[in-house]
Amino acid sequence: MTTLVAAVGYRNLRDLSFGPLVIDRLRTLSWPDHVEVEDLSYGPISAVHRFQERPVERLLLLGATRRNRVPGRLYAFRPGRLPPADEVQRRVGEALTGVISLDNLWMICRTFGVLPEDVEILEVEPSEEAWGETLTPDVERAVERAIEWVRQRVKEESEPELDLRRRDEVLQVLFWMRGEGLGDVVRPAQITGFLDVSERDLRRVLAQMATDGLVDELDHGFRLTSSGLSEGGRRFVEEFAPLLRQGHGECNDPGCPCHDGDPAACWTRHPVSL
Amino acid sequence: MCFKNLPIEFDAQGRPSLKAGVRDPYTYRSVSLATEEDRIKELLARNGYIKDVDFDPVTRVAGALAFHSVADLKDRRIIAANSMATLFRGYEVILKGRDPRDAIFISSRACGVCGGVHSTTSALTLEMAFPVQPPPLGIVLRNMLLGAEFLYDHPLHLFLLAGPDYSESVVRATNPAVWEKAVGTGAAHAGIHGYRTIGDILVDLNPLTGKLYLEALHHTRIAREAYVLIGAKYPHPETTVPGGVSTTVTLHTLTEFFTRLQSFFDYSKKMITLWDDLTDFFYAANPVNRRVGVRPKNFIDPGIWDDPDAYDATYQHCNEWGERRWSTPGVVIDGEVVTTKLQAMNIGVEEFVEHSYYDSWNGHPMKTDPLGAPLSPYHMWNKDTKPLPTGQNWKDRYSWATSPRWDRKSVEAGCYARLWITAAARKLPDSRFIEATGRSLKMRLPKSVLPEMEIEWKIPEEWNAFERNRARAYAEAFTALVTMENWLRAMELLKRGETRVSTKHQLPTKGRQIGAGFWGAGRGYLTHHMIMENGAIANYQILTPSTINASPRDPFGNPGPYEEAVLGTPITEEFRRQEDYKGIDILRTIRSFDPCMPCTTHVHVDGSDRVVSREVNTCACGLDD
Repeated sequence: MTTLVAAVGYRNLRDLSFGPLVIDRLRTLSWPDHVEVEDLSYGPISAVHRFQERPVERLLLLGATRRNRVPGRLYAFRPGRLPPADEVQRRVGEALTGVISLDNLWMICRTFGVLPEDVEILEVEPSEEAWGETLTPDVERAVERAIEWVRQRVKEESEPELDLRRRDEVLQVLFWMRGEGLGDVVRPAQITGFLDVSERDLRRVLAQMATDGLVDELDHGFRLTSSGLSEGGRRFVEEFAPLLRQGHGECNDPGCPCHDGDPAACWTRHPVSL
Repeated sequence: MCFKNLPIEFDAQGRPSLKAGVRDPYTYRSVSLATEEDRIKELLARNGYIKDVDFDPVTRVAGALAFHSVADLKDRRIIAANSMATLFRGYEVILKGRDPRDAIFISSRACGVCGGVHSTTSALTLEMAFPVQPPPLGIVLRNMLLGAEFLYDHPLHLFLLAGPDYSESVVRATNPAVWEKAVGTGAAHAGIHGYRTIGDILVDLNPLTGKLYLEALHHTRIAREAYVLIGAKYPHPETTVPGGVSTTVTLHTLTEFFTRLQSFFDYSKKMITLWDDLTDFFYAANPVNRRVGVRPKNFIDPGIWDDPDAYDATYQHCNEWGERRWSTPGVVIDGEVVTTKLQAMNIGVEEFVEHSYYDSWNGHPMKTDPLGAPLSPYHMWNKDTKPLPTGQNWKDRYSWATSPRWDRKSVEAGCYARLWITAAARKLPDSRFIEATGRSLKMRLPKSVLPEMEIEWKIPEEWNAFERNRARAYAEAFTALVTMENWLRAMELLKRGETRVSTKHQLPTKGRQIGAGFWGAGRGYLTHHMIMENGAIANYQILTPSTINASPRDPFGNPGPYEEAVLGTPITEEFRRQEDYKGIDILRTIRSFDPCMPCTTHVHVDGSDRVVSREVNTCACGLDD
């Protein structure tokens, strides 16, 4: 689960630089492991490619857009319906030629199906758009409020919810390591090598799993209990089912019915069940 | 003797000089456009079927372009055309007084599409001025970078910007009879591109949803990935420096580059056969299409992709290293190559501002080039950019583009000029993949998933919108193969242990130095001219392909390339009522040039300091008062 906090805007264009300047500030703060902070002002088409390569589950997008409202006021909203295709194509034309715009970014990314469902936009109404490195006082005042808005949104995704996801992943890792002969008893440091989680968060999750009877805490690590083994196996198979099917047209199981002349009956063509 | 209008002659050794006895050799008289303007006004007033057709902005082109035309809907032809660059590009002003090394990074920002070409052209300009000569691997890597940039650029234009003009959704609306024919017409190269009928191709050219559109989007990514392996960033690279590139290249880098380059061999086969089929179909469906976007076969191109054994960064040897480029520099007039010498190309260029929002400049500081050849006061080394925003008037000033001319003729820039000159001049270096025959370029695209394929781009009999697009598809193959040649050369250099990628340079801090960068963008001609004084830029001039193509009338009354091509264009569009007329032939014509206006225009000067980051509406209607 990744939440991306991103900005769009021109640098050195006074209030139109609001997004990138807020991102500069956000980068100096510490965020939970699942939160990434990035300036997406390098063009919507490249942003499409970025999301194709590294999808996110949640996007918080910041920028400045002139819509003739009160200068310096912040407006938070979820993007609405896409405009007609002609309009989107016009914006693709703009995007390909270097126009940086918050609307272009979400419209184009959504058109090509790379945005997560969960997108929130925070935009400020700019006052001045001339050359310059600084924001106008009205918009400058909005920076702290924007940072607070991001903090609140990130907090909304509660730790318990995140920990549930982490528990799933830990179960799978422990199951897989056991199956591969990498060890029944595993230290937290071994697990963090596979998962995007800090050791501190991981220890909290493991402690809860021990309470729930999924792992035993031993002197030198953690070991799956029998119910942990069963849970871990189930989740692992669900997660990797597409990869556990037959590969390269081969079946290495001499007991499989496909060796009796019925290829369709091959076990490897059907989901594995434990 | 390549000049017909400028008073320049050549001696037996080919050295240019001013013709003897010519007083005021560069003086000229401006032709008034008032009579023509009055005639058009009268036609408009007297005939209901003569209509103003304005596009403001022209969409699906990069940046701020507006176009005014007058269409005779009865005779089905365009009788007046004016191309307007609607924003001012201030880079020449921004660069004055700066450390020349800043130019590499600042000029790159002239364009969000192809900034890398400006960085490189700046680097070449600085190399000439300092001077500094890059090592072989530095030159080869630069060639590969620019190859990757064009591999990105051509499909982007053909499928995402120009392609929609030929898509089902547009053709159904503007040429329904043609659409009917397309559905029932088999595609000659179905075995290669996979489309059974022309109708199937048109459907997949539909914007946003068509498979060809989406596939191009995907390929732009692959080319960018190849670029950043060496350039670190795109469109504004971080590794371009005077004297080469500032990156470490290993066998691993080259292998990664190759895996991306390889995919363009098959993609080129597909692009070429698609655009061959499309072009041939449109000609057959309506032979009048051969006249869409027609203009004289006049081209200019500085060439690109240097031979590391020839390039020494000096103006003194520019004719020699220029002719050793993978793409031969030169000028084509009426279909014939009149020169392949960079010096002759350079001294023949002048920029006029009679119909642009610039004040003329006085003075003629450089009367000769560094080799002693005569230079016009209107040449870029003598030019001073003096913005003069005024009201718009077709008789007087109507564009932020200048009117660049070669030998006072309107010439066209484009990647196809590269193909044309290279094919005709037959100066191409020995190649495993490409052969210039004098009338064509034969190219051998290696086997990938598709089998090896021989293709041949023939210099076309007629020059129109369709041939521009067709040639751009062939330019993808040409680019891929030149890049492959350079990749092989890079491997060879690594094998020999010649791993140096740059030469240390010294910034001159005293005196006057002169430099020029002769290079190319995806859409053709690109030059930078610089004069340095005491370590700072005294004058910097950027001349881009779209400034050349979008230029307004020159003082001699000749239209710029877009204008000239639209003026020759018949109306093939089907419409019942005049108000249904959409002007697709005009749009196909303009877009066939691959207009890219960001480098032509940028900042709106309107008595304020407001910066315009997208197009402004110039309201072309009724603007002649």
